[in-house]
Amino acid sequence: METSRLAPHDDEWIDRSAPLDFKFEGAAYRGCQGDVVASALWAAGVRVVGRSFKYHRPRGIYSLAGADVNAMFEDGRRTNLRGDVAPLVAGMNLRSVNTAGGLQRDAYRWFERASALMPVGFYYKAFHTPRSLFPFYERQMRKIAGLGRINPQLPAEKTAKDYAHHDLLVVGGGLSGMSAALAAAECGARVMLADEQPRLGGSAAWQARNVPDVSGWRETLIEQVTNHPRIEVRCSTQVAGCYADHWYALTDADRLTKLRTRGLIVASGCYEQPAVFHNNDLPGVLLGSAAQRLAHLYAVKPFSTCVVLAGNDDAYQVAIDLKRVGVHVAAVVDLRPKHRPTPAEAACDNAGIERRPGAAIWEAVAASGTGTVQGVRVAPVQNVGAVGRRDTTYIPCDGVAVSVGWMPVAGPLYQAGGRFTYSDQLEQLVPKSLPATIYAAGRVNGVFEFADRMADGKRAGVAAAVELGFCETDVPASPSRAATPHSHPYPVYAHPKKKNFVDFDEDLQLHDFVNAHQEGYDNIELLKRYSTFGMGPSQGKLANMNAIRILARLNQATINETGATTSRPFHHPVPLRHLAGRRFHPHRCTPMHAWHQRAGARFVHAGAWRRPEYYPVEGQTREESILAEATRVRRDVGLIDLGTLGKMFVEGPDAATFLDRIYTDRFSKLKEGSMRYGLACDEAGLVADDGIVARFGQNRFYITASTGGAASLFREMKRWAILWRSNVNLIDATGNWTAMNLAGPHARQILADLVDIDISSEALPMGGVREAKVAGVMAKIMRVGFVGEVSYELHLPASYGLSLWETLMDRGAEHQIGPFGVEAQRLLRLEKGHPIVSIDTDALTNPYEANLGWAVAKNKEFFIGQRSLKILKQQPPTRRLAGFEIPGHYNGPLPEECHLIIRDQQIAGRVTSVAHRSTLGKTIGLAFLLPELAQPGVEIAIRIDGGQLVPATVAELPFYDPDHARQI
Amino acid sequence: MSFILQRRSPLEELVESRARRSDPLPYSEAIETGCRTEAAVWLCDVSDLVQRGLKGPAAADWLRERQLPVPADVYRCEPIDAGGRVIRVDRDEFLIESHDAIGEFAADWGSLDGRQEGVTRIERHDATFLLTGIRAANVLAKTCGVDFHDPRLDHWVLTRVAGVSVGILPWASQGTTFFQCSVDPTYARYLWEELREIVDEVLRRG
Repeated sequence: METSRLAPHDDEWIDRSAPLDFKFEGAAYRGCQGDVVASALWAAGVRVVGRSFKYHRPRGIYSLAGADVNAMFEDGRRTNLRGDVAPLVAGMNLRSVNTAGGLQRDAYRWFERASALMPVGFYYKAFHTPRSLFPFYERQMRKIAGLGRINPQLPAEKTAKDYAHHDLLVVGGGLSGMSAALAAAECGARVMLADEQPRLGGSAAWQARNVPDVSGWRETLIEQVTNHPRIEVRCSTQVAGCYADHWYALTDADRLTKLRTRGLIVASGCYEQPAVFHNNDLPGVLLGSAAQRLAHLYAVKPFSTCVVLAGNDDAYQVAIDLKRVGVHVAAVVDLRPKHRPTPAEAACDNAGIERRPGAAIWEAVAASGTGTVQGVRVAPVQNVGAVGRRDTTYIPCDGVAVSVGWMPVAGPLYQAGGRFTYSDQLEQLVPKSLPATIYAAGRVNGVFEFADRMADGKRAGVAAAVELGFCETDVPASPSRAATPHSHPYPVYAHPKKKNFVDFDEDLQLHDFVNAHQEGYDNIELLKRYSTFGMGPSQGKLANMNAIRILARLNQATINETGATTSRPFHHPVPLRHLAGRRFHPHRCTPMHAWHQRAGARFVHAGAWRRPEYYPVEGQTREESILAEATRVRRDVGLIDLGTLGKMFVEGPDAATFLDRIYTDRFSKLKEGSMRYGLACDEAGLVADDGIVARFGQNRFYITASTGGAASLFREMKRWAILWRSNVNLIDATGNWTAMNLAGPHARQILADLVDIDISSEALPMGGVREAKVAGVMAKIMRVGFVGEVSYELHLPASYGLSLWETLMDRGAEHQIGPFGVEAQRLLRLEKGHPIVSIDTDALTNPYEANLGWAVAKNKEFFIGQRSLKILKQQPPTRRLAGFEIPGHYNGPLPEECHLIIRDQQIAGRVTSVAHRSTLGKTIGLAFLLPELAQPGVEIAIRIDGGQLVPATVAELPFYDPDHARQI
Repeated sequence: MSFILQRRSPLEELVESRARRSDPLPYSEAIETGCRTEAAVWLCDVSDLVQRGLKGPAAADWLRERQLPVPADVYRCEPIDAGGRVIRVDRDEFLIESHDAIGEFAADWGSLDGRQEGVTRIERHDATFLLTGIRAANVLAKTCGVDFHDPRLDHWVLTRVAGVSVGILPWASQGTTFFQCSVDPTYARYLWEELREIVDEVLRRG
């Protein structure tokens, strides 16, 4: 059957002058600008657009509102595109998801024949024994289950994520939503109006085409809303989640918006609900609203001949609309018993459409080959949910329009804290209680007449504005809710032995519910989890209401007694890329970063920082480059960027005593103009961080901390300063100051000409600190010995850092100066036997184990961890950090950090640092060893990857310049 | 000793490599250019802005003694007659910005060496950007949860932009709204590149 576009009409959403060519399952089609993918396919005569989740049954368009997952596609770049709402784009090359080998030749289509083997909860009952096969089952299930597949080869996209702020969010751009937005904005509120459809109008755009006045109301409202300065309209936007304190997640094709408001009005309307009968999922069975959307919005003739299944008066409007666009309406089959004709039914009679009250479709008949509808079998209704199967009649048709009831789009209200109750008068859930500043309007509130919807919207808008303090006026009275039901109480007329689907997402049938109930799942939440109804991508938009009705009937309970399942964000499927957003990865660079880049440095992540690891030299390996940098420091002079170090000022009357309490050593007796190693422990006596404590005045200290530990040390210092009520000023200057270390035999010579003080070894010896001008800028000069050569750490304001670095490089050129990176520094300090906190210590290391006992003052009143250290010192040590060397004759594979020391097949230690090549010409390292092994000369064995044991000898520390003669 | 160190923006390499101009622009020139710009969004590095920090219970008195304004509340700012402003960033902490010159108080500030009771100087070398244009607030909305579209926002805001702590001061000159963003200089490259990318996107997509 081939349908085509209808004659043009004023309200259609398509632009016929802009044709769009696209492909679906390899075949070429043409749609129009303004089409969604599903409407373009239907217009082109494509009836089967997807396969069902479990049985791989052919499926066609059903809701055309994104409330089902029949029309889900991938386009090579994106997957799980919802064809009902995804705009058609020229050049799209679409394939249906969840098929193996294409839509028509899907290799899994035989699953339907095995459906008897897949009853409700079958995966709970099988596949658990024998246990050894579980991985096999898991692999197969993962292969088969799921919808679209992610292609990890595609490049990652940075998706925008933004924040928005308004006074009020209005969900739904129909008559009630627009009226609400307008009323609130008129009172002064800034309003965001969001609607999933690409245009405003809501159901008035397709449901009321032939209802007098409605088009005029709609157009007027659209104009007013669009031009209102305090209303921001966002179409094609879903309100996917509602969170506490008026946070909302809004998604559109390109972004996720986090919206903050002070109030919420939900005028989201209703989802039309399916009827349950045999083959109710065949391609060609559509919701009445979907048929109206096709005809009115996209100018597509939905069927040639159809039967309308009615459960309310809206179905008759569907029948009239279809007849007006040229569809032969064979009959309106009304589930309701015979009654005096309503005006809608009378209009149907006048249009010459046959009505069959008190009847039900109890099966749709599939055409062989295509699997689409070729007719329906109609039977008289005997009781609610039961038909007389003897008096069936067959009506040939190529489509069925189902219009039996509605379910409010209640997700946003539920998530915002609203509660619903079932109205027997309306046969629908209606709001029972709503939190402050949250309102419902329109059909979601049980108000169905178009004029009433506008009045209800206005009422909600004014009420919200008054509550938010924008105006003081009388809130209009609420219009009364519909007097007659717009939903059938039980649209389930099932064939007892065949497939009657309740949840199209999960292929759940009526008998699945019956069986689950018999197995004891008689609670709605348990039933949901056992059967998985409502757990598919559409989140039960078409399944939940019927599931509740079915369970209520099985339990012989009311709907209110049965309850509803919990609504959680997200209300709609949200692409993962929207959640990922831009993926901000903040990182820090020192002021000298640009220089390092120009020098070709290889960078390494150190906490939030990017540090030069080493500077590769062409023709040299990484190890050779690092060794060359270290050798230059030993032989000539090198410069390393220490901008990543923690840099803090501690000033004030209590500064000295404060540092005495923070660090293990005593600093109150530290002379001005000198510095000392500072070791900080936690309350358990474990090494937390280390650095330099320099005293520049009676109450002025400057301290450094490790790159990774600076932030936590400063945080702890602030905490302790408050707890101890210390009179200190703590200033974290890590970012605003920078530092570098000029090290090597020529360091003094290079620096001397740049400073305005004497920096000779007599005037500024090891451990000395001075404040002086370096090339005109006040800096701190500190004589440290970390790398084992004459060294000057220069600390100065950050914005002068690059200039000083370049100056030193320039001045040092004649001395063969070169930069050295963090790896060369690690090698140089290893040769000096200095441990690095967090590399040569772990979270359980105390100072005595790390040979740092000398940094623990013996006679202090208090410092953090003191009590624990006193206890630890009395206990026999369990390990000790020691140096080791690999014998020169060994030429096998070398150990790496974390390799274990083995003795008598037991773990006797762990390598913490190792340098395969050093300026000493041998492989050296540090390792934690059992105390009895940590003696110079002891032979140890290190197990490397693969299990081989490498011989090593414990060595005296330091490896290099034990008398520190080179540092003078 | 012939070498004199120069203040350098942490962004100079980035800005030059983009063939824009060798920023940072002098602050007053940046304001004039920003007011004239017809671009929907204009981002400029003004890291040559001189900043001085003061902290301590006597910091407010120190300012008053030098006829400098003292903002009444935290996050409020007051203009300095000679150009610039004083921002109260905490109860006892102030940030003094001087547009084109260090100002008369610089020597006094420089002499604060920790011996003075109740007031400590703080070296501030924040990287500073100016963001302006009719869509400038849209750029911030893509990185930050504070509503910079709100015209009532007229004070210094300490917030997170793209995951980094940033101080933002919205202010107007000649009818043009500027957002002055100050960030720890070590995060400047990261933040500049992120904002630059978003600015380009906003200019491209609107």
